[in-house]
Amino acid sequence: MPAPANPNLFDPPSAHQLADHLAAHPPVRSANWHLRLPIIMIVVLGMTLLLMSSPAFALLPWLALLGAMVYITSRVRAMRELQQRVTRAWELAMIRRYREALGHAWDLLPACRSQPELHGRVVTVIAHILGELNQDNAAEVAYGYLLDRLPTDHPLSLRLKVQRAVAALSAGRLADADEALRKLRGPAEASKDPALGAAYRLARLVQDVRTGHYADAVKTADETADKLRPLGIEAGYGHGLLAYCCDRLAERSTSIDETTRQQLTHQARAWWDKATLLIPPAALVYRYPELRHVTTTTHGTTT
Amino acid sequence: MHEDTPRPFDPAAFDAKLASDSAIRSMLIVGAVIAGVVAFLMPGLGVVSTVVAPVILLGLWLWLTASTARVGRALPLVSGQLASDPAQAEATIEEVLRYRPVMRWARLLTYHRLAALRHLQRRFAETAAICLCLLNQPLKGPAAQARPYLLLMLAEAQLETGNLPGAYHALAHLQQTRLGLAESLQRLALQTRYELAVGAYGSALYRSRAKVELAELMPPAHCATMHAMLATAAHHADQPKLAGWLWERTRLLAEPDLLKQLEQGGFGVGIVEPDTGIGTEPA
Repeated sequence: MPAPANPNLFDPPSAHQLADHLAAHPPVRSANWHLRLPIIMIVVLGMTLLLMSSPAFALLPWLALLGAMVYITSRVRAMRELQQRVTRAWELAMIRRYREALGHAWDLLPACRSQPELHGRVVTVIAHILGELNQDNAAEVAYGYLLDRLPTDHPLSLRLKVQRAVAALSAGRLADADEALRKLRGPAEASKDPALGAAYRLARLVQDVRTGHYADAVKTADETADKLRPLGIEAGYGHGLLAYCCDRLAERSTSIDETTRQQLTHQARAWWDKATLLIPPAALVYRYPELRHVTTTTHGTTT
Repeated sequence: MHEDTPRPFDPAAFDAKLASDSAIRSMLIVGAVIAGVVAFLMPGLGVVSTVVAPVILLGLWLWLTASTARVGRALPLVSGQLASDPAQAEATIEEVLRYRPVMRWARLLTYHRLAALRHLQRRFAETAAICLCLLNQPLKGPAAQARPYLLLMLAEAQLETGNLPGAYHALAHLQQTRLGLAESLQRLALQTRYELAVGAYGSALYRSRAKVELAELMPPAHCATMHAMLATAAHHADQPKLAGWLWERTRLLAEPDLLKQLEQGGFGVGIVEPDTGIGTEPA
C-alpha cells in the first residue's frame, strides 16, 4: 500500500492487505555478525601482529580495527534513528493523528525487520490504530500476529488477548469473543495490573451490549464504573455503554413497572452525562454506533 | 554490616569515581600513543614493537570494554528492579558502582538510575543533589538521552523540597530541551504545579482547553492530578464554572485515595520514564 503525498489520505488496510504486508516483512533473527565483528577483528589483528614484522604492514590491522569501529558506530546511529521514527509513529497515534501514524508505521515495518523488538512495537501501533479506526478485522489480524510471536507468559500477552477479543466483538464474531473472554476471566481478575482488569471489564461490558444482556450490565453498573477508572478518559466509553444498557432495558423490558422504568431512564441520563463529561458525544458514537440511540432518547438530539 | 538506610549520596565520591575513570581512560590513550611510537618509530625492538606493546594495549582496551559491557547489561536489570524491588535495585546499583574501569556514559547512567531510585523513595533532597551533579557533567553518547528525565526529576524534587527558584531553573532548562511527547506532558504537569506554587493562576490557566486535551493523553493518575491542578487554578482565578467542570472530571478519573489527596492539595506528579520502565506514580 503506497503512502500518498498527504499522510491524512492514507487508507487503512484491509485484513488481507495487512496479513500480506506482515507476511512480506516478518522479523528476522539477525546473524549479529556486525556485533561479532570486533571479536573477529581482534583475532585477525592478533594473528597478523604475530605474523608481521614490518611496521608498515603492522599499520593495516590498526586501520581495519578503526574501520570496524566506524562501521559499528554508524550502525548504532542508524538503529537510534529507527527507534526515533518508531517513537514518532507512536506519538502521532497518541495525539490521534491516526492515518498519519498508520502511514508511518506501515512504511517502517520493512525497515524494522532486523529488530524484532521494534518490529513488534510497530505492529502494536498498527493494531491500536486499526482498532481506533474501527477496522476490526484488520486489528484482529494484527493482534493475532503479535500473540503468535509473544511468549504466553509475556506481560503484554493478556492485554493483547483482551484487545483481540474486543476486536472480535466489534467485528460481530460473538462466539469467538465469548470463548476468549471466558478464558481470560481468571487471569484478568487475578492480575495485579489494574489497567488489564479495566480493559477486561470494558470488554465484558461491550459483550453484554452486543449480546443484549442489559440487565446483567445494569446490575453491576456501579462496580463496573469503579473498575473502569484505570482506563482514564477511556472510561467514558464504559459510562456510555452503561447508559445504553439502562436505556435499552427501560425501553424494551415488558416486566418492569413504570417507576422502575423511570429510574432506569434517570440512570441512563446520569451515565450519559458522565460519559459526555469525559468524551464528546460524537467520539462515543463513532466508537460505538449504537450509542446514537442514547443521544436521541436522553437529550432528544442527534450528534 | 547490614544497613537499613542506604548510604547517602556523596558528591565528593561521585567526583572521585569520575576522576578515577578519567585517569584510566587517559592512561589508555597515553598507552596507545606509546604503543604507536614503539611500533612505528622503534622497529629495532623487534617483537616488543610488533607484538607486546599492541597486545598490552589491546588487553587494556578489552578490560575497559568488558567492564563497561557488564554495567550496560546491569542497567536494564536495575530499571526492572526499581518498580518491583527497590531494595534489590539499591544493592545492584551499589555493586555496579564498584566496577572499574568504566566508560563515562555507563558511570553516568548508573548514577541516573540511583537518582531515579532516590526519587522513588521520595528522598528528594538527595535526588536533586544527584541530578545536579549529573547535569553539570557533559552528557554525551548514550548518557545524553537521560538529560530530559534528569531535568524532570530535578524539577519535581525541587518542588517537593520547596525550592521554587531551583524548580524554575530546571523548568527553564526543560523549555530549551527538545522533548518527546511523554516528556512534554510531564513538563506541562510540573510547570502547572510550579505555577500553582507561586500563585501564577492566570499562567496555569493559559490555553486551558489545550492543556486539558494534553492531560487526556497522560496516564490516568497524572491526568486526574492535572485536572485537579487546573481546577484549583480556576478556583483561585475566580472561574467557578471551569473549576466545577474540572473537579467533576477529576472525581471520575481519580481513584478514591488519590482523590482524597488531590482535594487536600497534594499534587505530586511522579516522573515516569517509559523507555526504561523507571517511574513513580503520583504520591
